[in-house]
Amino acid sequence: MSLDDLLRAWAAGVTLPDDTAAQIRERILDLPVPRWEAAPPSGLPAGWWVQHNRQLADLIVRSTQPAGLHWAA
Amino acid sequence: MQPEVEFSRLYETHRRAVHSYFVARSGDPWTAADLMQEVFIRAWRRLPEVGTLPTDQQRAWLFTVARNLSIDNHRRCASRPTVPWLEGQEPPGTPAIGADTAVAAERLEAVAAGIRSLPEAQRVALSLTVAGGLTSEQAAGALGVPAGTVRYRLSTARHALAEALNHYDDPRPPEKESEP
Repeated sequence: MSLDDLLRAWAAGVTLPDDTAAQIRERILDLPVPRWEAAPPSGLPAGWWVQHNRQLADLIVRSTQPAGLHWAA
Repeated sequence: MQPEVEFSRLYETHRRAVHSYFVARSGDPWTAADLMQEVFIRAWRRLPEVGTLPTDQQRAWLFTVARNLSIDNHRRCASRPTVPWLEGQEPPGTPAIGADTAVAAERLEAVAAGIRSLPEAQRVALSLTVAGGLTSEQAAGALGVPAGTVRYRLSTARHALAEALNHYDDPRPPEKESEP
């Protein structure tokens, strides 16, 4: 028996039996039918995150500078 | 197309490859079945999105989910000392050939042991192509690596397995050359 034959035999030994695979498929199909999920409504105005990140970055940069530079900039 | 029909087509197209991936990663066909089920549950939930993709992109999507699940599973099982199937016990599926003669069964076990001892990347490549039915190009797309990498891993794996088989067939240690 060649290596290819042995590999095929190994594959047959680890492959999921068809009936088991069919049972798994049926279990999944018993779950609710999927629908497109609507995008969740956002409570924040457009641009809020941009503004927030800009302010946060500015705060981080300032916190690394010596005290006098805050007013010099 | 009905969701059930669309999902069944997706499932039948990819289930063998996904299962073979988990076999290589977990070492246990039944753990692999559980993980495969989880991948396809996620595919079912995202069917309106996944079902419309071309086959290779579906495969890439499924294997991205599979990789993440495999990592989670590995973390969960990290405290487990060994996976039973890796200890040399009989895998759940009885080999189609080899059970009739002890020698054939032993040679098959020698190859199975060789596969278990391969580096994971080689084992995955081998499992995807031999058990999963993928070409090296398809396996490369699923794994997100170049096709040449998969071919190299396959070649190295086959070489190692051939050596393991030769060692089983002829277990004598190599003769040492006599000292002058």
